Amino acid sequence: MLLPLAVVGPMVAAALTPFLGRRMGRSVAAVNGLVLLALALELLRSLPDVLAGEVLTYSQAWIPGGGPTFDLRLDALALVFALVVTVIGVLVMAYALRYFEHDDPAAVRIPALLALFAGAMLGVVLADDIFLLFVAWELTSITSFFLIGGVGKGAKGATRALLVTGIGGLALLAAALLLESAAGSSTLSVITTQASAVQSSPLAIPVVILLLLAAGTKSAQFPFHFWLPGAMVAPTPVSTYLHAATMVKAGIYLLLRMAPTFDGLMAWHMSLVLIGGATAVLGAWVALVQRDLKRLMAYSTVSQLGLMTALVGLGSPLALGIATLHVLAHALFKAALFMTVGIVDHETGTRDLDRLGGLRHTLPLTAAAGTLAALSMAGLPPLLGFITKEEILAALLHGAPVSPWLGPTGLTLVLIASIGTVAYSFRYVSGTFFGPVRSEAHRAPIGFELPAFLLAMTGLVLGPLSSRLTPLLEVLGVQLGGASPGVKLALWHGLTVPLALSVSVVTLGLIVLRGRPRIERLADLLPRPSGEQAFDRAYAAVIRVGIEVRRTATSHALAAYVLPALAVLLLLMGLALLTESPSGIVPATPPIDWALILLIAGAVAGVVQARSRIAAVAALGLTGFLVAGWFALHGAPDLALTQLLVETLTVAVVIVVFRRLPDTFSNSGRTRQQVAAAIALLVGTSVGMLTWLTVGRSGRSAVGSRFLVEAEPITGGDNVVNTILVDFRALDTLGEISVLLIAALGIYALVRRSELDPLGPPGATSRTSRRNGSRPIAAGAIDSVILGLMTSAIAPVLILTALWLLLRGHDAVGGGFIGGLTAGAAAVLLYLSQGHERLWQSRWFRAMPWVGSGLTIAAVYGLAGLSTSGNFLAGGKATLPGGLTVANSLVFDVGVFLVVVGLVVAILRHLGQGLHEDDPVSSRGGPGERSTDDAAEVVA
Amino acid sequence: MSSAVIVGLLAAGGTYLVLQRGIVRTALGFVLLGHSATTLLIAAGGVGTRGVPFAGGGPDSADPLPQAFALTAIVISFGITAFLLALAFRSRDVNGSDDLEMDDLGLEGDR
Repeated sequence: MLLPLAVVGPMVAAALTPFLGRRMGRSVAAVNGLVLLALALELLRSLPDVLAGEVLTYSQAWIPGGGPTFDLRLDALALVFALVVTVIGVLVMAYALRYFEHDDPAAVRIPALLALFAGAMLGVVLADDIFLLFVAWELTSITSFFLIGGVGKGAKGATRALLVTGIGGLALLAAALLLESAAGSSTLSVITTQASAVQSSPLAIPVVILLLLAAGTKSAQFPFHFWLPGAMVAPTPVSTYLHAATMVKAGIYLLLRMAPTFDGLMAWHMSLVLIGGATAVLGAWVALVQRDLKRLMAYSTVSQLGLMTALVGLGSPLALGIATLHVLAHALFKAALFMTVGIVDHETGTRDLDRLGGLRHTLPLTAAAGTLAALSMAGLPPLLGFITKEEILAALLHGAPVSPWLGPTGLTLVLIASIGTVAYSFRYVSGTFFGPVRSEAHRAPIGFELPAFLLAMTGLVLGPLSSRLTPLLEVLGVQLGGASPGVKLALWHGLTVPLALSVSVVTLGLIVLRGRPRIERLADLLPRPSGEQAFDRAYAAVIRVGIEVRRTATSHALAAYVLPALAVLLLLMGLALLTESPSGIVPATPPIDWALILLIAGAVAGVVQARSRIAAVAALGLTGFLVAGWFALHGAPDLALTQLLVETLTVAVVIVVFRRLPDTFSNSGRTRQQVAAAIALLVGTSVGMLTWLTVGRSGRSAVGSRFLVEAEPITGGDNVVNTILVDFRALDTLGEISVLLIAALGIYALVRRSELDPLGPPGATSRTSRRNGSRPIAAGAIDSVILGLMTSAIAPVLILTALWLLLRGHDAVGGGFIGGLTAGAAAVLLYLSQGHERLWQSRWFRAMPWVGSGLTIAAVYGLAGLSTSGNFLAGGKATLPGGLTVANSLVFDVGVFLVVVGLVVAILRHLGQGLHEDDPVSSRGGPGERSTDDAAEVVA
Repeated sequence: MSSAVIVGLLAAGGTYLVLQRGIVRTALGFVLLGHSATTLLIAAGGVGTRGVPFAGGGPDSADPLPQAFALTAIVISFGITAFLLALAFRSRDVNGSDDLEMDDLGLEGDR
């Protein structure tokens, strides 16, 4: 249970932090610290078992169907890293307690994110499934982004860090997929046993490259090292935890975890030693010429990470074991160093080495911590850093099993780096804590200094007690390198070669420190290729390419988007025409059909040719009526009626909108007309031929025939089309009326705001008429006595007819759609005769109540049927008082009816506004209120 | 046969209009394309039997299933037409015209 708790526990703490933080303020960091402390103690309790070679596991199915599993595993390697994450985490939380001011929002935000990060990092080191590792790995990158800054002054550094580690994350995912295919498993402990299968696979080299990319970006190896100094804009607790002690070690962890799998593969060993060694040298010498303490520490971290990478590359049991222990040693001294830098910054207001000095008087505890930690980093006895440095040199002297020259190469690079390390370590101590006092400093509260001091003291205590670490080194060597390292850790091994090397490195380091001004002048002469600049240039180039690509794909003309689709359509139709052969007999065409075709051809030509909008709409209406006639001829009276009503309404709607638009269409160029005509002819011909080839040759469908026979017995309705709509396929119909609802909402959302530019105010000309020089058709209500009289007579009749069509729809021509459209026609008449203003105020003239209640009724009725009988609609009949028998599904049809009416009302209400001089929205100045009313309706 | 000609005619007219400037003509084109599609649906049910598909109808009854599809399709096309017209309406408010090609897509504002 410890393992899942270790991953989930800190994340839960993170989720609770904002709520606790509201009450506790910055003290909330203590809660998170206690959570991590509990985990650290539990982990320590498992230390004896792990040293005895035992392994804790936890497994939980994650993605069903054989995908990645939520497998966790605690072995010696994982334990060392998990202890680093939790123990340093505790001290960082303690440090954060004093670092932030009481009223700083970061005092709650940062501990919350740090806890989330701790959970993710524990996920990385405990995961036994490579995909789980990947997920946790990405989570650390993301939390790092927010911890560095995300927005504000940290944005640039945070974005660079995220993009660089993001590239690595993608590489890790690719590596994980390839590894799974090469090893036949995504479980890390299984992959380790498949070393020969992986290495003999052709995927081996690509996997190595991808893993190097992943680890190299995460652990800031050359040439990706630049993001780490850039991340130093983060608050110091963050730099301490993520960018010194834990997250940057994730890459080292990955390499160590993979070391057994790639042991003996030359490319693996060689690249790691070279990249790691180069990074170690680069980091150490760049650190030497830094003035900003945080940047100095960042480059120092880069250098140390390079050292560890090179050790992994060496691949001997001792090298792998001591690399892991050095992770521990480095976490202790580097976390302490970052904390001291933070304290110095906090109490003096500067991190500039040229303005610091003599702080041992005001900050004695910090000075002690900083000095001890720096000496550990430089590798001086009796500190833990000395113990690991000695064994690192010993491992390098022993050399690599795979190649005789890897050892000496690595040794040379590490020695050069170590000289720099000694120099900048002493420079930090002497420049900050010793020498003349150069800046004012406040005393720090003891609670602020204590975490750093404890960390430094741990390094001091573990040095003399290092023999206690020998069993751990033993287990690590066996686990990672397959054999005992054969070394006993101790302060004094006698006069050995490593000791001699250490002494000379320290001597040379001190000499370099004395000659540092000269080195600095030399460094100024050398060109300094900046990874940051290169990265920024590449980033800007990618963005530019993106804009160019978008430019080619973005056009002002709708035709530019339609044409490719049409081209594909034509291609597919051409293929179909070539391959399809007709089967079955085409029924004979009665002469009346041909007459209809002639009329339709004429009407379509009219729509296409029309230059004025009124003519186009008239021709369009004619086309619709003719198509309705065709439906009637083909035994579809419901369709014919629907089509007639829709066509009438379409014409009405277009007239309503056209009053806001100029009379004539804007001209397309001649070429475009010709091209469009050619394409249209091609499309028309192909569609027609395909229709002829494929459609209507097989007669009535089986399911259609079944409906004809069974509809009446099952549903009690005679109108089979209507029973299909409201009984058999009611769920589809519900979806379709939802589309109508969306259309109504869309109209509402689009046109609500047009009230700002009404057409109507007296004396004002619209922008349209100014610009196009043409006058809108009419700007007033259609003021006709005859129309008014007719409306008052016809509208009630129309509404009654609509209800009648709705009621009888189940048995004869009619139904919710047809009834709703008829009622819509009545609404149009009312609109035309009464004008927009009067209707605007009527509560019947609001779209959302209609649409909303309709959809609700249909859905609730359907769901009721689902819960009582297991069908979305149950069917059946009910007898109303008075002996009238109606189908139960009438309720559903009422819902359909209401939605259709609502759509028409939405069109009239919103598209029809702003047309009249006395329009409320243009003359009263009350559009704002109305909009709010409407919004309230939608919400209601 | 007649259905094939009608489907082709309507598709050609619709395609031509969709390729023109201006949202209103595009909307008209969509109406024609909608007619073309519903006609195709009905034709798919067979044009040989032309009786009204009511219960108790004889062997001459048309196929009711495509009719049900087509009926909802017609109403949905109406919804789409209305929405396109709302776009034209809005476009006029914003740009002074329903012609998209006079519209500035804001590309120049990018860096």
